[in-house]
Amino acid sequence: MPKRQVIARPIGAAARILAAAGLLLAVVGLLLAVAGCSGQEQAARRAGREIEVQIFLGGYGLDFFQEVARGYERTHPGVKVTLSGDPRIIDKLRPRLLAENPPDLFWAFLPIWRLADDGVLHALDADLATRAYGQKITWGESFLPGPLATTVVAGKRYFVPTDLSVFLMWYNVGMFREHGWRPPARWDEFMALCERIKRAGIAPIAFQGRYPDYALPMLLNLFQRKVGGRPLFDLINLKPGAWLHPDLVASAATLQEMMEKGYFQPGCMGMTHTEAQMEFVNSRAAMVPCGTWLKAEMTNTTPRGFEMSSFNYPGVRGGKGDPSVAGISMGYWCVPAQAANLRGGVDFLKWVTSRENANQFARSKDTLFAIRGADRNLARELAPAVAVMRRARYTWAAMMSNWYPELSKRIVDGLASLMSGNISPEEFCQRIEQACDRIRRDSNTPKYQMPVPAEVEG
Amino acid sequence: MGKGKAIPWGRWLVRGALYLVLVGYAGAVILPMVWLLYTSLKNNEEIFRSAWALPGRLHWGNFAYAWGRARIGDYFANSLLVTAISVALILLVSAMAAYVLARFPFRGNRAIFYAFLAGLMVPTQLALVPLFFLVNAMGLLDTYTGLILVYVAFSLPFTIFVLAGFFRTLPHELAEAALIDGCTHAQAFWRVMLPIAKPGLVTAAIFNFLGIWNEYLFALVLISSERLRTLPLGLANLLMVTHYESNWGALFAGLVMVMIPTLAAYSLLQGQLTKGITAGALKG
Amino acid sequence: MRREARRMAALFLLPACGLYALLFLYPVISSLVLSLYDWDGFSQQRRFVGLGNFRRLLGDDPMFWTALKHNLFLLSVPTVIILAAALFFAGALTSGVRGSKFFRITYFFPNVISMVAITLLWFFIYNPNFGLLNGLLGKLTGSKVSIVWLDPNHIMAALVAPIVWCSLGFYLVLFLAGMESIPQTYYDAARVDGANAWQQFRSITVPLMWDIITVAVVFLVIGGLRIFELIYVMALGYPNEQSQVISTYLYEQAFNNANMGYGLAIAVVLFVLVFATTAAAMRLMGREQTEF
Repeated sequence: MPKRQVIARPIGAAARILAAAGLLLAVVGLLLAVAGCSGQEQAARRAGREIEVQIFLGGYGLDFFQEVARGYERTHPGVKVTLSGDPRIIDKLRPRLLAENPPDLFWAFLPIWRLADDGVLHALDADLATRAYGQKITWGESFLPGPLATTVVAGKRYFVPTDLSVFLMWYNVGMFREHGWRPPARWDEFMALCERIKRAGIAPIAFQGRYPDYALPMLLNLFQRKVGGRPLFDLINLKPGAWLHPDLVASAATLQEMMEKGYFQPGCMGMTHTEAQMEFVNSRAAMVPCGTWLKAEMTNTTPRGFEMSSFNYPGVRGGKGDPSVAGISMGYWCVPAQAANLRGGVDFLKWVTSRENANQFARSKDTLFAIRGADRNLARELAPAVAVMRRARYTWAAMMSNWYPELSKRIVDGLASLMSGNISPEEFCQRIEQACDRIRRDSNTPKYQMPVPAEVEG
Repeated sequence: MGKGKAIPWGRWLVRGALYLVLVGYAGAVILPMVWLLYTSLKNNEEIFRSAWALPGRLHWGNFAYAWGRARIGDYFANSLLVTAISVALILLVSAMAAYVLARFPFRGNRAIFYAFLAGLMVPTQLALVPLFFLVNAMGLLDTYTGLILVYVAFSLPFTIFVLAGFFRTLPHELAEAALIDGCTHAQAFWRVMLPIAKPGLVTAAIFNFLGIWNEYLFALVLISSERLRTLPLGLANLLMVTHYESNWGALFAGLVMVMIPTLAAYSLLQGQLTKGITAGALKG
Repeated sequence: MRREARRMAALFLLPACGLYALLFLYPVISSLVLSLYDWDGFSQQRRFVGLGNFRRLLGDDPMFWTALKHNLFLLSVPTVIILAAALFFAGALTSGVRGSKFFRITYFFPNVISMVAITLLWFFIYNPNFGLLNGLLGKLTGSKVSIVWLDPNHIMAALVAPIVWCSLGFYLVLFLAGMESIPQTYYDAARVDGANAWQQFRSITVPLMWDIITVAVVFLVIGGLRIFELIYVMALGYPNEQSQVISTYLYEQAFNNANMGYGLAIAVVLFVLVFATTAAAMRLMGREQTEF
């Protein structure tokens, strides 16, 4: 009897201690968590003395933005800018948006069009009519018109475009020079070039097969070169039947042919973007399709002495489309409608997108920016992209992938199947059209439209 | 007909083939781990050059990188903290409830018990989304308190099931003797029944430890701060980051560091684990 | 019950029931309710659509059926292989083979490792450039092998190996326990009657283990329906059409596409599937308990 009690007592006591500890933990945790959303910060923001900014932490890092924040503080004494970043910024924003206690400004890969539609974002039209920082023109006029046009939702603008990329075909300058190859001026020259490269025993085009939407700019540019811009914008705006256009089918067929002829590197469908791009910088492939971010993304793994440059997708002989047209993509920054310091958020956004800061951004991060005049003195590798943007008759972006995430998935899956040779070009187009049809029919999904630029041909 | 008896070599053949298969599968288990181990000591170039070759030099730097810069060391400590506290709380809360459900007949006893059992069939994804908002409303999002409480709640069905079964098989006499000696029911529990239930508790502890140590989905949704990451999150993140930074050696090293403690702990405790499953199998 | 006993019972049940009701039952019921809404998960705006989400899911969503097809594959093929292999190994280890303890411990190794780690390991094994599998084949054939094992065309088939690899140990131990509890006298009697090993297996081992086998089948089937990490991590967070399963599709709709209500409808359907297959499996495999 005594023996059992001797054993029993410590265990009973231990259990009681644990129970108390658990309760204490819960209480402390609750207190800490409550203390976290300090009322103090909120008050400062409401009084306009503090601006809270949250951004996505990725390739651009945080340092540059902190510098910009400090610059704002210097020119606006009495105001503090709290800027934070996180790769999982979406998960941080979600509960705050839901609790209607969002930051004053954010940059995240959220479905911002849906948010705009649901009234979560602040409409910037009035602010765009005010003067831009450091210039005589309005804030709205300081933006490049093409990118700015992508931000319209139901007639109002709820965000502004910031970092910008052009989709081009990058090539190995040294290798081209060595073999006497030249960037093609027309599509048939492009195909002939691929054939020549293949005969020389080198993979013509490296491809990021695990993310087949890297081929979308190629597909849509080819389409536009054949038929002009209007059918392209019909695609983007999900006009019924637009995706069944015979020249789109033909363009898809070209893509598939290129794969069959071995113009895309064998085994590319299993490669991630870094793997494919490594093949390119290690001279195992001559070209790679990518946005202007290629140089920055591969900076750590590019061998010394490697020279890269890029060219826009060439025109088609007898085609209706202007070959100066370029496909772009950009990031967007938003001000939530329920921000405690709405004015501060908007003002800081104006500051970030001032021409000087925009140019700084572009120079230090090796990217383009959606502000006029932000493309001065960029790295040599970006010169073709700068030239393309300046010369382009108009630009387009695959907005339908931004507006309708499900459609984006269908397009990616469709491209994967198309390039793996599993489906025919006709079936590819039919599948996308069916997906568009489902979206058109779904009353729960808000619909968006991209205004067609005046310069559009066809 | 006694084929085996009449022709000795026939039996040897079967035996041999059997051993071949057994050893073959054992190889299939061990080989990837050995490969993982020596690949984690290669640098990027060696990894890409040849999968099979042994490393030229032992790049211990990979481990240093994974532990330090990739913060696997921190995540390890985090997981240890979260798992230890969770398991302790689970055992406590479950044992108390299981004991009552197993030994105290009252109206609604069966209903409550089946309510817990029903939880075994609910896929965690069903609760995931409202749980996220509920934990957020409680102010416990991105905290260990929130994560631990969730882990405890979701381990209740399994643990109560196991412990209730266990308590039901314990002899009544001991508790009765304690009651006669003047203990309250509660005292009888803490002093007499709980200590005897140690084998069941150990089994439940091991299963819960494994489950929570390796848990990914809840941690993914409820924890977003980098410094609070648990090991599975850290590992998955390392994989995605490696696609940008391309330090594959460190990724391999991180994987090794995640697997080794689990395997070591398993080697020590495997007897207990087997006993637990065996007991469950025979009772179930 | 005495008053003191009743008080103790209530007190002891409180923490478990409280936590369970709050953090488990309440969210589950919420999900059921929220699946009837159209909601983006970011704003307070919600629109009641009744069974609209379910109608769309079951009537107008080819991706759901593709995902379900993949789940059906993953809950059937690996299950059969694991059952067969576990029975085989358990039988082998109980037939007096030397070193059975070593094999038992080794085969269970993968079960204790986190699913994320296992996914990562097999990601490496399958890598076309530096993977173990291609390296092994290259060594055997003498030339470089670059098979893309995770090619979308056959990725589901490629996932069978990791699933079997990481589950086998548990079922082996389970079946070992079952087999070891069958009295040897049965086998002796059968041998005297002239039954060979296979006949003994079929008419003694399997029937007496039927309950355990049923439990194994139920676990494996539910596992095949709920599988998440293996797909999610292998696809780096974005499974494509050929690798989508129900739980990853749920995650995608709810968290990536801002279709919270719709994602929850998928979760409800998943629950129904789990429930239905469990009931069906138990019904199909239920037999009279063979007593001995």
